[in-house]
Amino acid sequence: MNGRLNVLLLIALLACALILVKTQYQARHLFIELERSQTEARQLEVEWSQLQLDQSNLGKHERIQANAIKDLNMVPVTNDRTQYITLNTK
Amino acid sequence: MSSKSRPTARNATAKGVPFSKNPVLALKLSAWRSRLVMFGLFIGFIALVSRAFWLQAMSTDFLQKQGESRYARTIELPATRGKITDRNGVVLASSVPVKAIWAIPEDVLAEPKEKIAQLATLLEMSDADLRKKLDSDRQFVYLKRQVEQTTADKIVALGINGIETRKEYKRFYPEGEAMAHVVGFTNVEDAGQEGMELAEQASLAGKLGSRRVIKDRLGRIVEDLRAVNEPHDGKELALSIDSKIQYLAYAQLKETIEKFHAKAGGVVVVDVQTGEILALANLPSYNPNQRADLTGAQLRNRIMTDAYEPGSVMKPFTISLALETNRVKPETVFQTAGKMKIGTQSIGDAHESAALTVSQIIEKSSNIGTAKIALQMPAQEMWELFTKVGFGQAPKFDFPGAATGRLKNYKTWRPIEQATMSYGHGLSASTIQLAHAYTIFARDGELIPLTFKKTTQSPVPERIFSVKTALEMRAMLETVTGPEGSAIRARVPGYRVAGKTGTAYKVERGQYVRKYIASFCGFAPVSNPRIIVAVMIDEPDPSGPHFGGSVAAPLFSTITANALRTLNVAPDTTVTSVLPDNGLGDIM
Repeated sequence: MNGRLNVLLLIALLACALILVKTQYQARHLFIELERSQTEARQLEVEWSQLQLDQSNLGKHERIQANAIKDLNMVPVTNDRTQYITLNTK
Repeated sequence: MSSKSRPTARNATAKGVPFSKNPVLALKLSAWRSRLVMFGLFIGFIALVSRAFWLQAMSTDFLQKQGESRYARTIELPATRGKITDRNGVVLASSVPVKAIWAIPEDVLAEPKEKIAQLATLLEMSDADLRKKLDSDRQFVYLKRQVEQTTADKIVALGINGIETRKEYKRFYPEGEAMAHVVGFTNVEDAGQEGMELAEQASLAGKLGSRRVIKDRLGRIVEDLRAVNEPHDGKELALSIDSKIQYLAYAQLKETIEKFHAKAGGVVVVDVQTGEILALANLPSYNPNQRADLTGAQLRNRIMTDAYEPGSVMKPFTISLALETNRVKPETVFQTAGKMKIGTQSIGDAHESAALTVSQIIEKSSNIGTAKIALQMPAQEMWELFTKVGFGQAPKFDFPGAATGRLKNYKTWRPIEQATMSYGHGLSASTIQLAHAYTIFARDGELIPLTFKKTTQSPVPERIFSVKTALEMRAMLETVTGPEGSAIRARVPGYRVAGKTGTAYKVERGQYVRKYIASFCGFAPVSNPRIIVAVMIDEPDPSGPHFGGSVAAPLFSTITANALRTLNVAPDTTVTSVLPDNGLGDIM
């Protein structure tokens, strides 16, 4: 009786040990994956700020004004050519 | 061991002599020999135990560290400096990762010549310059900093021994010259040097983080050893500046300065409701992205740091005080003919008039009239008012290098000084102080603090004058831009504007010289003021027009028109062409 229990426990112990090894292995794998994703996230963030910067660069008022006047033949708006509309908020 | 021999089964000897009968055992050895061996063994044992104790208990930390260093690594987690944006989220300053290239000179010099030549071209320096940098005994030499990522990758691809890179950040300023003085800039170490970059250094700067990890043989991170010390990116900073108004103000200031051949100039636009600074432009300016040879003149934020004698712009304060204390009424008449003698000195007006009402004194900008009103009041009262609205006081906003200006203590005022101070001479103030003080007239007698940061809270006002006084003064200031006023060219089509011109002689080495500062400080629309615009033009060509009314007022007009349009403020008067047909018209 006692001997059989010992064998059972031994088998359980071995099973646990093997599961532990596998879990550890999986954990490390997932961790590496996580790491990779985080690096990617950081890279995307950098790219995002670079794009924001580009947007600012391209949307510079100086550039817009120059383009509007030179390429599109526009003129600055003046008040005598502006119609102001007041919304009736009730 | 040696004493008694027990009978044993081990009789095996070559000669068949039993072990117990071995003659060696019968040798009489002295007792100290065995003790010596015992002692030797004991010492050895003690040594082992103490060594074990030493390793286990005393130096365990050191050993564990040594072990850890074989597999554990500390990684620095970078933190990015916060962005600076304008009130609408347009990026004004942003950090982008770049590389610093450094070298171990000895190793690099051992490399073949052509590789070093290639390196030099990639670094955009001559071969000789590069060699000069490498000619050093040190183990660490920066070759070039702030190299863009793509170039750095190419340099790494050359595979030169002893060339290393280090991550750093470069700050980009897309708005360039127009925004330079407000935003400021950082140095290569990413620390603020000027403007808001310096003022807000503490919150903009990120906090580096770190983590302790186990790396496997391929350098991949396997596990965190302890909780990650998270990096904290710098906080984003939203300025009160509106980049559109800012650009227009800058461009128009530039035009004015070129037209009147002025040395420098500045403009500030303030939101009357919140005290936010919508635009602040200075010339000469600089490009914060290329700061190779900057001069002090370019760096100077004249609006904030240049205190000068404001001139007639001060008159409304003196006269409001007299109105507030019921010493005069807008209709009270003063004799202003000729010269006014105070002691040995005399003061006069540019345009002489026989008699003027208080309202006309503002309209025509009469020095004599203002001085006569001022001399009715005790010096202390005037000094208290000037101090309360911020003259001679350190400005309360967080901007580096803001000037205090100069205001003498009233106890030392002589009558001539009190008279000249009443119209803005003998004291000094910066343009921002004037714009700040003008919130009183734009806000029905309340003074509000100014700010460079976008805010949604309404400011805490401080009442200086009653609403009645403020409204009376506002009506007078509107006449300045009227048909008889001194600054008709400040008018804006479609809007009622009010303001005051100022023309001051500059003081050099205690002497007034024939150099001027033309200024205009005003607000619009008069029916419900939205913005205050203060303009300062330093040293317009004295042979041409150089008065506040002819130089600064037109600039005020264009900037106000653009700012009001940008802010979608509805016109409060009919649109008329306001430029007069007389001689003044063709100065424009």
